[in-house]
Amino acid sequence: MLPKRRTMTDAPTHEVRGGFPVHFHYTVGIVGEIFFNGLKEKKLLGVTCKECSTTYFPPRMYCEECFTELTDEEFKVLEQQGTIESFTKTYKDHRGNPLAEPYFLALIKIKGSDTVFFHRLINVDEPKIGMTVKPVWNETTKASLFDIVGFEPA
Amino acid sequence: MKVRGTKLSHDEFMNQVISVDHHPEIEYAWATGIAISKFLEGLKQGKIYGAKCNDCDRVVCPPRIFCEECFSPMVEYVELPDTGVVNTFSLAYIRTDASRREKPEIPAVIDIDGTTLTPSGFLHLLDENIPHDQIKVGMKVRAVWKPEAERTGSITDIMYFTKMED
Repeated sequence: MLPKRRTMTDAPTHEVRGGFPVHFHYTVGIVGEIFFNGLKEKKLLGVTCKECSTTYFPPRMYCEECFTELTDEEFKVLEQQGTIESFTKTYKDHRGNPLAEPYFLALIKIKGSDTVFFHRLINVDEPKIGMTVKPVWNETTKASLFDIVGFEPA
Repeated sequence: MKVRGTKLSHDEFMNQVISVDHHPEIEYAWATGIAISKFLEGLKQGKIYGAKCNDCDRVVCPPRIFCEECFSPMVEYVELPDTGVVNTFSLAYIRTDASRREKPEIPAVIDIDGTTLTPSGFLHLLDENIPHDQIKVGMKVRAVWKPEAERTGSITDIMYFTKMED
């Protein structure tokens, strides 16, 4: 719900409320399919560009550095370890409502990759940039980002 | 032209490949402002309000907060009759989602009686049962209101305008 309106005058004012029915359904794509199926098997799959040696996690279809197509590359299993590149503590949900329990979000560089990955930090009170972390997996996985509960100090 | 990509059937698209399904909640609320709020408040009471410009004597409907002819503030509201004249109309055989209607809706701009200098009014609907060959620009019409208990202060408090008997 939107916040209740505030009136600027004492005159009775009316308001018009409405919404837009929007429905998205999109596929994760060729490489996304590989990446998410990797998560389902509790594996972190990355890809290395053979032209410029940049390693991506999550994998990409094209190398962002040299535009080489990466779909035919070998996807490789990365170590279940990373470092915190950046983090923030969030007190509100995406609609602006206060959270009962604030949590940490972080950009994590998985060991062996040159890119960062966005996820939650768990079991940590004072994260530090450079801290080594590892993923905590859900018992049952379903090819979703939430197959990883979060990253905790290694 | 050969387009790269992977063709998916509906079933593959919806059920077989990994996909994201999302229904974002998109809401809006906007204030109708001082003059239109007065107008809507009037509709709730079964009245049509206009605003009078005390400098150039125009009466306009719906009311607005300043006169766009002489820029004077319009502070006086006047009650107008719920009758008017068809300024323009259309027979609409499709709905807003482009699906077909067998019996057309008749959107029309109604100039409200009592507005002066340039007649003014608003877009509304005409009674769907008026024989189409009788609908004319200049035809006199009268508002058909919802029962008082059902009015909410909305333009739909008037259900439609119907033809006045000569």
